[in-house]
Amino acid sequence: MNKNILEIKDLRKAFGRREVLKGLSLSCAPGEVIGILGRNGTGKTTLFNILLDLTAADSGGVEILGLKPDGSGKLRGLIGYVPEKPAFHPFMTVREVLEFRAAFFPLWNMGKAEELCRKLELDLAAKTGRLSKGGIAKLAWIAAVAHNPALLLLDEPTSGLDYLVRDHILSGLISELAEGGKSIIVSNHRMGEMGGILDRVCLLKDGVIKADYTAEFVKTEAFRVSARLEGGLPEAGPGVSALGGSGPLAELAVLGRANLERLKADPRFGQAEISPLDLDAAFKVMLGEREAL
Amino acid sequence: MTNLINLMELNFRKSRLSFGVLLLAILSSVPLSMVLKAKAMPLSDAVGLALIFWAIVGIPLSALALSAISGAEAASESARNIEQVLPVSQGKFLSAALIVLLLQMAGLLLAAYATMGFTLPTEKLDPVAMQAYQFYLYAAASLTIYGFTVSYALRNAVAGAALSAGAVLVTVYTLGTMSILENLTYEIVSLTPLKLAVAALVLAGVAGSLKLLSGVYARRERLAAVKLTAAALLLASPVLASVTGLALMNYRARRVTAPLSSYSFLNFRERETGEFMLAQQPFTGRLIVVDADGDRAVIEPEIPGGTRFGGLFQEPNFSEGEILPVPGGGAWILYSKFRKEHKLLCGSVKGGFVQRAAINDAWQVTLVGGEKPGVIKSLDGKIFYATLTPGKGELKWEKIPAKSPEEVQAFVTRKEAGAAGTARFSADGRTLIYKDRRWPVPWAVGTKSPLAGLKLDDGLNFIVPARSSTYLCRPDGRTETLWPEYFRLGQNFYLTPDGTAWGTTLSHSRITEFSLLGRSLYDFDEPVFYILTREGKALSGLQIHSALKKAGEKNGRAGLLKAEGDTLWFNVGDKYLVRVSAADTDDFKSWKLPASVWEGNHSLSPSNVSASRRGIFIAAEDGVYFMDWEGKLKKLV
Repeated sequence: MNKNILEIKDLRKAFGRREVLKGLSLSCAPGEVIGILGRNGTGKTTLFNILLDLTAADSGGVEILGLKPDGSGKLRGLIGYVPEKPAFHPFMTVREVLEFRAAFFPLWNMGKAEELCRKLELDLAAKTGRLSKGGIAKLAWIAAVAHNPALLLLDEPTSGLDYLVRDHILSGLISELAEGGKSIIVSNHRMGEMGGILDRVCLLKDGVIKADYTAEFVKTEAFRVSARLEGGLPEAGPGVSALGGSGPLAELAVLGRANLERLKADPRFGQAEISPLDLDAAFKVMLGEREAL
Repeated sequence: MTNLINLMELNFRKSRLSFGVLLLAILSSVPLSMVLKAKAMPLSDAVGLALIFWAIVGIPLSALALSAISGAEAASESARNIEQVLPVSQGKFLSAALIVLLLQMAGLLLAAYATMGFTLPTEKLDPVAMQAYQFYLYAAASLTIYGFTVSYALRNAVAGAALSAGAVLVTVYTLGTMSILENLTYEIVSLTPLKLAVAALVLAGVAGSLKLLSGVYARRERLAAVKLTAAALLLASPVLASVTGLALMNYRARRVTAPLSSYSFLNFRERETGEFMLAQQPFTGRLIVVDADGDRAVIEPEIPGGTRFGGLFQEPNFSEGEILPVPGGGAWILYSKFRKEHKLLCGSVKGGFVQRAAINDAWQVTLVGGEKPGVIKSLDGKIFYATLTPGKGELKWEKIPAKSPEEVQAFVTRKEAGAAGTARFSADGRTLIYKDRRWPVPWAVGTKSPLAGLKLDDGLNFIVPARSSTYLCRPDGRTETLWPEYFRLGQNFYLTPDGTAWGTTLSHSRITEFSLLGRSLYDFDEPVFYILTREGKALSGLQIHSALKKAGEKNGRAGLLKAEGDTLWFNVGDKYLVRVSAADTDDFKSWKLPASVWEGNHSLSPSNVSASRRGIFIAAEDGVYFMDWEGKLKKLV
């Protein structure tokens, strides 16, 4: 019996000649919150669609709570999904959307859905065609969690939301779910705002999980190193990226304490100023958005 | 099931506007037509016009519009984003959409039915119009599911509607043309299985292609090009099947042979055709005479090109005619091609036939046998006769003093009897007189026309029908009761080429048959034979039940072909040559005849089997065959 709630092995998917996933493997333990970090077009949405059984993999294995994607759609009954661009039938009211969906999910909790609507200040009688982008996002969240799913897939869940709504969702909903033991896989360009709840961050690059960091590592072993360097930047080393600087003043990001110790051994960094790297910057470094040395 | 119902409700809501508009249009068309009609137009005409519009154009267009919109919507990105996140398979989504579509179409048809006052015009339709009506319903149903599927495949309502309309039109037009042709002439390709196959292919094609397409579109499965090609082929399969059926029908039609029906207005006789068959290929226009050795003479060559029925099918053109053998192996042929002028030919199969004369002034012309063959025609109520002479020059017509059909019959009977002569009846009808011989007849005969003699082994006999019985006047002067049934030679009593005389009555019964499908009742007409052999032996009430049962012949279609001692040969339903022993008719041997085309119009098609002394000719669906009395078959043409 597999203890993981999700198991992905050697997953491959190509669209025509373009191979998007090239043997991706990933697992998720119950209650674990995983952030999928990747640049645009690296296959995050494809991965989610395969997990949702909306897209068929070319090869490889996916198993979620013992079920495999087979085109029947049963897998989607176990998953709460918040898409990047949620959409609803514009002629339906919020209540009608919730009642319509209730028929498809045996564990749907209408009371919970209504309570979330009140909490997120969503009018049950409003037509979805007249909802704001924030309102649509709230409804998508409620529709995703009202059936008490074991696994949540969040694809850019805060994309396009204003600060207040984002705060509502992040500080309220996601934290509550994470604390409630739900497994969550989230992809977000602004992963920093999810930082508090993540257990792991996986870097999706070139169709595979290139790196898998624990949240603890990101929080405690990502450093900003500022130093006055004469004669240019040092030799390239693993886990070290340039953050910026001007003239002889250099700013480096270092991932991993061992890399930091190796850098410190260089006499030019004897007087370097070392501070923790904030999450957003750390994720950018992981993504390779900073020039590696 | 709950999920399906919920999805159906959703689809109803999504399409309620387009459906509502169409429904309203149908329901309001009758009152609107009454209000908006031109002043001079009668009210009933205006209503009729509105109904005709919906029947011919409105309903098919509605089917196309609803289905195309629904299909394109099902394939749209918004449907994918909104609906596919539900834990339901794509098949269920599409099924719900299709069911709703069919229900909506049923609703529209019901509305149209309501505007007609809940009456259907089917009772007034003739068989061809009834077929057209069935095709219409088929087309409406096909348009609905095809419009949906093709629009889903193309993700475009307009292109989907156009393409599906084209596919359904080709299928319906092809099958419809074939169907009409079958009704008018022959069943050349079995259309019922073809129609069922096309309907099955429509359903299978739609189901299969939707599965493939949803895999490619919704789940973005691999091998997309292969699956899209397969889906296209599945959708095209009903069109391909109907077009292939048409091509097969055209190919087979060119090989169909049929005997020429006689246009003789002398309906009281059976023509002896000698050792020939005069056959036609209705779909090529070719006429041939063929003998048992396979020698043939072409009377009319194939028509190049020809006209096409509905633009798709070679039109059949039937000729009528007859052949009259003369001693020495020659024959006279009289025929009318496509009901145009009559041509009179003489010659032989080996030497060829040449035209002796053309007869343009009369529709009713027929050959008369006897020692000196002749030809008789009816013109303006008068009857003319000409002796047939080889060579050139006009035929010498002479008016014959016959005013009634009976007198014409008497004239022809005398001509054909020739030297053997004919007997006549005394004025009271109770004595038959032949030269200096007289036979008393128990009852006065009704028709006193001359009676042709029948040459049997003991000499010239006369078969006399009187009241409801038949008597035989022997050469020795005796009069015997033959049968307690009425038979008159040339009317309901015939001669086989070997000189055996026979007639039938029909025994009607109702048979119960048990099968896996249950009990079924059917009417069974069994011929009861009365036979007089050349040896003078009379067989009465002979039945060949076992042979009929084997042939599956239920309509009493069986005829005697030959008798030799106690052995009899029958043609059963143009399907079997059967040889039975008169002593025990269950003791029989049968040979299957080559299949003949089923006649759509029986009045045009006589039996496909023609007997000669050596065996039988069969005008079959792929040529002319000859089978000897031992069942040995050979193809002649």
